[in-house]
Amino acid sequence: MSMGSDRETIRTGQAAASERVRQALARKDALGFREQMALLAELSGLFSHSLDIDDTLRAVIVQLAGYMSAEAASVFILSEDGGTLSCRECTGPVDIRGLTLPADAGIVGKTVQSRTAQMLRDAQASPQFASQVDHSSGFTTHSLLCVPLVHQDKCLGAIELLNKRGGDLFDESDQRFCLALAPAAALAIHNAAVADALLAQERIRRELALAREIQLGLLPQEDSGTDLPVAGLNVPALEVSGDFYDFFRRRDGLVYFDIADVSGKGANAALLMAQVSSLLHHLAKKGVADPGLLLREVNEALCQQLSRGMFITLISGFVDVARAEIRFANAGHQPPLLHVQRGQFRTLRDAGPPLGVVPEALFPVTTLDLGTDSLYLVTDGITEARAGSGQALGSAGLQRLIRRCADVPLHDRPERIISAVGAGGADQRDDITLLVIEMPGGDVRAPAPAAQRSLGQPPPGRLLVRFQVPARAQSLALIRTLLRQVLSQYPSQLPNPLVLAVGEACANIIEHAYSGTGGDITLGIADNSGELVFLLEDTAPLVDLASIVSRDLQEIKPGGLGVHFIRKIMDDCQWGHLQSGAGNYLLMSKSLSVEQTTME
Amino acid sequence: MAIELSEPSGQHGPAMLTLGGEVDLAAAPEVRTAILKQVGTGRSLLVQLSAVSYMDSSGVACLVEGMQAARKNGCDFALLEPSEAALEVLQLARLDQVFQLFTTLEEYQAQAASSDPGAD
Repeated sequence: MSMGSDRETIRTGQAAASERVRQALARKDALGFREQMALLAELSGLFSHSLDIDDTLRAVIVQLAGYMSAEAASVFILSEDGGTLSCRECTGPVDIRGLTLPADAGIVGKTVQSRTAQMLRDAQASPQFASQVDHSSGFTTHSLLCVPLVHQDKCLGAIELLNKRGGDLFDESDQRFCLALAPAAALAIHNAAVADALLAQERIRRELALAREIQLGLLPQEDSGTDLPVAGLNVPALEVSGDFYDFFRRRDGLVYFDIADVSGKGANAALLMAQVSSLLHHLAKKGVADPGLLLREVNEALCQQLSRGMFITLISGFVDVARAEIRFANAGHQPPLLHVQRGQFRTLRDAGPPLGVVPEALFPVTTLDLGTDSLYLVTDGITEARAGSGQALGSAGLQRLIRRCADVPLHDRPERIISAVGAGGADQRDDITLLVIEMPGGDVRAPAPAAQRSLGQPPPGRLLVRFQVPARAQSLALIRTLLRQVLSQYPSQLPNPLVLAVGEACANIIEHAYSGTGGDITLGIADNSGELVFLLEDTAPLVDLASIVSRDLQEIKPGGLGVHFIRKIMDDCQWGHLQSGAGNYLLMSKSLSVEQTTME
Repeated sequence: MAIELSEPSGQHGPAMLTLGGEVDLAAAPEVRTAILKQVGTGRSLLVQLSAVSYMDSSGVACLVEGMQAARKNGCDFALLEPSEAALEVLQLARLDQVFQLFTTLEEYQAQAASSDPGAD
């Protein structure tokens, strides 16, 4: 769309409008009441079609002055705070556009304050008349007519006509005519103000979008880090985010990472984010390899310049890939979660104060042998996110999501977890950022040697029931009946999903492990302080553990859904071989927290 | 598990297969055979699921296979009145958007009449 041609169209339209007004007024020397009404309708119509308020106001007052035989005419607009009146458009020997008066000065002020028309036959004799305008403009005012512009009970300004030509005076019919025209003018001025505000908003929106683009440039590029042991994602609540994260490999092979949450949101937070992010990137790249020292440096710089009440929580550290070791320091940030084998979590709480608050603060360094574990760093936007239930996700909810997504490849996992939180909707209230650190191959959760089980070893926790059935499809109904009976003791759990998950696991043993050759299935159920544990054992030939995978649901085909159901329903599930090759086991657990398992 | 075949709208309408009870690994072979046999006639098939009290992935697999066979034969395959248990499993498999689901026979008939007048 070309702005130029639009402007042309407006101009042409405006000129035609002015010509229509002129002709209308020229016909009006001896106007009857009906003709006056027709003229008013025409002038008012001009306002309602107005595309450029200044052009329209000017056209109307020029014609109005001509019709009224006034030497000069002007439109004054009251400022937003109501403190001043300034001339928006005028016609006459002196250009007073931009002239600004106190809102109660002169006849215009009186008109606006009293919201009634004012008519003076001899301005110079009136104490109300603001003669400084005459002094500064060199114009001498004799007679004067001024009408208020009121829209929706709000006075927006006034139209003023000065000096009837030929020494005549303005009369009651002039006043009536102006008063009748005033509401249309007021409405047009109001609409123009609304349009201006919208334009300003649009400008701010564009600037924020630009700021966001610059911010995104500061985040690690998607394809830059697929060989790194770190993956991250940021989903801003507003267009610009106060969160940030960074990671890159240094020349010496160390991988630097950080994640941060700047207090506040919007442009201020974004600017600070950009500054701190660059500072950290620079320092870490230059060779500082002690995360405690890094945070001390940045803290000192921020303490000197941050305005009161602004601060940053941040974790910054290094991964030594060769030694599978992480060193990091925490400045008041949400503690990182270490996801260890079998779905257990450790919260790493060592931390100093947020950056920018305490000068000369120290930041303890945590050293971690990552091994095959995974480290999750988040901003509070994720734990405070509210799912459909309206309940905050919380640390327990986050742990459940992490368990559920543990098998997703590292570089897809942040997105998978964040989309499971339901982020990105209109009701996302805070920025959400997630960083995952894991050694290459760490996401292949092969059964840990520590979790070796021998045949007949009971599941962990208080044993609720243990029974053995023949591995035949006809046993499934019996297994379900027994399960439902046990689960009836746990009213916080919806039985259907758990029955389905255990049923699928048994069906897999029958169909795939024994391949229909027969044998037994042993099911043990235990209450392990806060979670239900289900242990399935068989004595079938050892299955290839790598072949047990959820299938891609995008592909519509019969079969292969069982593992997907099990993983989706249970918090944790681990397939393994029994000691001495006696058979296979599947250990599944489900948290007993109040939040119910649903099939969603 | 119960399987029952009927013709709710006469010889020229779709056939209807009503499943009841627990549709699991034990029941799946029979269900699969019944569905594929019906679809093989080239006639549209409605599978009535309101009396299904339990369904596992092997039950779902039968329905998927039926739908695919029907598509090949150019006839309709729709699920009618899925019970809560059946619907939950379809949702968990993210297949609730893939199958044609209808809450009543009339709803199916109205849809069939409007989308495909005389084409069958």
